[in-house]
Amino acid sequence: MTNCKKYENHFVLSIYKELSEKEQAALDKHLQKCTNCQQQFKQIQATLGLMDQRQHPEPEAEFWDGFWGGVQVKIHQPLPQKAPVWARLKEWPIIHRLPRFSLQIGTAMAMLLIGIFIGKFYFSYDAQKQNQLLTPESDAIPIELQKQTSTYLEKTNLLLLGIANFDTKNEDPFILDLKNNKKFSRDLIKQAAVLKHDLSEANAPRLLSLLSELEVILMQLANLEEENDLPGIEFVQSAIEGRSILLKINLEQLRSNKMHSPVPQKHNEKTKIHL
Amino acid sequence: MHLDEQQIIQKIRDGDATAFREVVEKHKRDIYYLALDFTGNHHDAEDLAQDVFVQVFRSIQSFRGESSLRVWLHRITVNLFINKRRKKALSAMELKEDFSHEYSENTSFDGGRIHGNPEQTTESGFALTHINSALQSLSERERSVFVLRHYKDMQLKDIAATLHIAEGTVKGLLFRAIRKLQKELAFYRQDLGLEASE
Repeated sequence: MTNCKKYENHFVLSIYKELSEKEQAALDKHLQKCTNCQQQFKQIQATLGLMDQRQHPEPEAEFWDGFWGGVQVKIHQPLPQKAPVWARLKEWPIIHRLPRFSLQIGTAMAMLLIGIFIGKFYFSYDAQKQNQLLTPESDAIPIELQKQTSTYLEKTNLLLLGIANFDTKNEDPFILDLKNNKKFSRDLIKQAAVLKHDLSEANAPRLLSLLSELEVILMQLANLEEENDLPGIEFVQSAIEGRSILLKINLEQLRSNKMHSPVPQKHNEKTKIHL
Repeated sequence: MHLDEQQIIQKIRDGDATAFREVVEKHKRDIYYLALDFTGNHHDAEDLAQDVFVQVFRSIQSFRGESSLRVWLHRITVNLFINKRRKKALSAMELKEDFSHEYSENTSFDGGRIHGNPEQTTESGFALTHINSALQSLSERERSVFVLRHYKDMQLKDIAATLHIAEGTVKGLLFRAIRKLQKELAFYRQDLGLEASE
């Protein structure tokens, strides 16, 4: 009987001629001895014989006549647009076979990985960007010129800081000492012209651009009325804020400090990032 | 592959519409009935069979000719059926209802639409209805494997390759299908030789 179990599945394979010669010979030998298996074998043969009697319902003649036309119509139809990714994902058979919890775990893992990727990319990008912002424009600028520029920026920064921090609504314009500031602005404009010439030769476009912006603001300042020109002061304030002039000056000063600092570069960068 | 077939395929590749029509006309019945075995209803079978030929037209350039055109058509039919099923265009409920309705309607004696046997008796009409119902009782996977092996004489390894499943799985599906058919058709004890076992 244990032997019979072994041959059960061979009945079907034998009928369809899917057994090897050796397997077929073993089955034939077994069938000669075992009447029970003979009976089962015959039953399967009979079932399949009955299935052979099956007939298809014949469609009407019109169906066959119109078949070619239907194929032609379909060929000339435009190809259907591909469904969106999420819709195609739903058709993916494995999705339906997976247990719900494994999908949840998979989604959580995917979200975690995306988070790590975004975090890593964002922070490394941020550090790179900061590093780039703090990189001195050119090592080719003579040290003397760098110092002059740095001093110039410091002076301008002080002047503009005073204007930017002035409260036009609550403070008296007298405290600004506009007369002196206007004169100071004119001096700075003259110095800017000289510096721009030297920076142009030293190939420092970023500093040149900054000095040009400063020149515009200093001109506005130099052209203010000497007394109570509050609208003029507000105009200069909005120009300083709109062009982020003070921030640009600060950045240039940071770059300059970085260049002249004796601290190793990597450590220095970190320190500055925290600033 | 037969030489004529190679020539016809080359003609289709060269854009010969008459050659393509020749292929459609030659194989349309075979493919329609295979589609009917799979889908279980005339409407889906017609749709599937026409799609098979559209697919042939569109991918004839990639046909390597390693198998006969007929086998290639069968493979396309199976693959398209599986794809359509995945898209749930043919829902299981719809399939069951349509299949039984279609066959009970078309195979009924009163309908008189059975091909090649207009004078069949009521008894044989019932037998045919039962045979179709037995086939309908199989799952789609079991039915696909059984139809390809029994009616289309496809080797088990080819069925496995076509359905993208292991050969062992194909065998399992085939054994299960036949066991179910035996059970469904047990009514015909005498014909099936079951009488003697009792």
